[in-house]
Amino acid sequence: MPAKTKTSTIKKAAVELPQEEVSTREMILRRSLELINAKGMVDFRIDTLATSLGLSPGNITYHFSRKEDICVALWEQYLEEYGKVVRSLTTLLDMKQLYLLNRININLNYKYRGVVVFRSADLGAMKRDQEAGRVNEDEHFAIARRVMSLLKLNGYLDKDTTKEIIEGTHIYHYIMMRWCINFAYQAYTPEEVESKLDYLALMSLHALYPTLSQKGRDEFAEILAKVSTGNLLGDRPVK
Amino acid sequence: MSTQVKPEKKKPQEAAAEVQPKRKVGRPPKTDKIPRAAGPRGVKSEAARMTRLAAKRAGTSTRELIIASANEIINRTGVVDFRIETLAQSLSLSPGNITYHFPKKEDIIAAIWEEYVAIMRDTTEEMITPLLDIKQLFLYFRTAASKAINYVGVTTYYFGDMGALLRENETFRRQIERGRELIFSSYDTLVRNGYMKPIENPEIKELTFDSQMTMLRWWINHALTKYPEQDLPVVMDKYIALSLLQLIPYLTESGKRQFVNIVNLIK
Repeated sequence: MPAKTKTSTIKKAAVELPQEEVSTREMILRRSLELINAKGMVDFRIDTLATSLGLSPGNITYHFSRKEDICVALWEQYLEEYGKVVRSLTTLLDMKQLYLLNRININLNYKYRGVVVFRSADLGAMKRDQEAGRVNEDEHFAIARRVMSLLKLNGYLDKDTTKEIIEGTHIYHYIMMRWCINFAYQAYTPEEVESKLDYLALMSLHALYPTLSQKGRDEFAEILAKVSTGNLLGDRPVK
Repeated sequence: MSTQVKPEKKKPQEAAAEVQPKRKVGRPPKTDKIPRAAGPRGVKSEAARMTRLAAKRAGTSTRELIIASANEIINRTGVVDFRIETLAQSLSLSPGNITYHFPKKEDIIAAIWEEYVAIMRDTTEEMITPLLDIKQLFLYFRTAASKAINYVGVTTYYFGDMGALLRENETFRRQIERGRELIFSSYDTLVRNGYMKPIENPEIKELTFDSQMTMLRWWINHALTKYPEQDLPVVMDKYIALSLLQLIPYLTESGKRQFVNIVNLIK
């Protein structure tokens, strides 16, 4: 589970601006996300952004001196929202709850897709910040581990599963959560991806399958049946 | 991106020096400016001259030479920081020599990508034979992974930038389609050879493939958030073994034995 809980306090303060009016900063971030989602980070340019907002590039660079700073700010926003999801991890955890958590996370990944898919796409950027990457990673792992231990506690893991396999499985779960959206953009047409989000959440949950007890597999089968028949519509308003 | 792209804190002098000439917006500053110490442009360093001579003798064209050394540079710097000037310098060519073959750096990147795609297509599929067992499947995945490492700068970019993902969507879909056929037929062969039970539920079979595919494609991106690039060949085996984890529920006794064997060997 990619639990990006680490948020810088400075950025947080900047995000909590007065809400009534959309600040220029906020406006820049929103439009940037749209542009990055449509074209990717590499082709994203501050001048295009400025033109589309009817601002001068100087207006933008006053808030963000480089496009990378915009990307970082969006990532921090994403982490902030993600932190809220992770906080709902409790000792009541079962397969369905975990599926729902994954689903919220996948939807969030989709909302921030341009930034999320790029996060580990450039060697230079990764190299410059390997230390922070590692710290971030350790935190995610701590949470993915907690998921495994809660599942075990509640009888969802097969008794014969070795420690090693549990360790491998939580890494697997994490990688699926992080990169299944990239997979979706390779396996499906771009237009299809949005309709596949429930399936992607199932795909990340499936990473745990080799370690599940019969009880876990039964619940998984139940979720699978609902997802594959498109029968997961509880969140649509009832008419 | 998170903190990854956060600009390094500027030292006071540097910050002062950077105030007036605003760089072209939207691009990271070229901190990696190459010192022009190597004499005026066009004067060729002996080493570079020898490389090019050797290449000429081996029948390598300038175009191929450009692709090869661009790939080498991108494997160190990533695509974003890659500059035609750096490449020209390293080959002792003028930037014009390069742009004659590739007008933009994007064209070089695309050429490297095409080379990678062709190599993956040509060399790996023959490895799936009727003799397939778990060890061979591991080796097949491993061969593919080590090829990806040779192109790490370009593949991480193609697997992770929305622009690249969208542009290449069709190629990717074809690759995944082919991957599915290949993996499904290897499941069948493993069943026939007694290493695996069939995955009865077609939906679970598809999920198993999707999971293996995701691991085999994005392990590098994950590994690079934890390990320096030169460690990739060392950590590769661990990730490839992980991709086999998805088969555990279906392995027979002899399949399990081979799996445990592999895990013990790479420990």
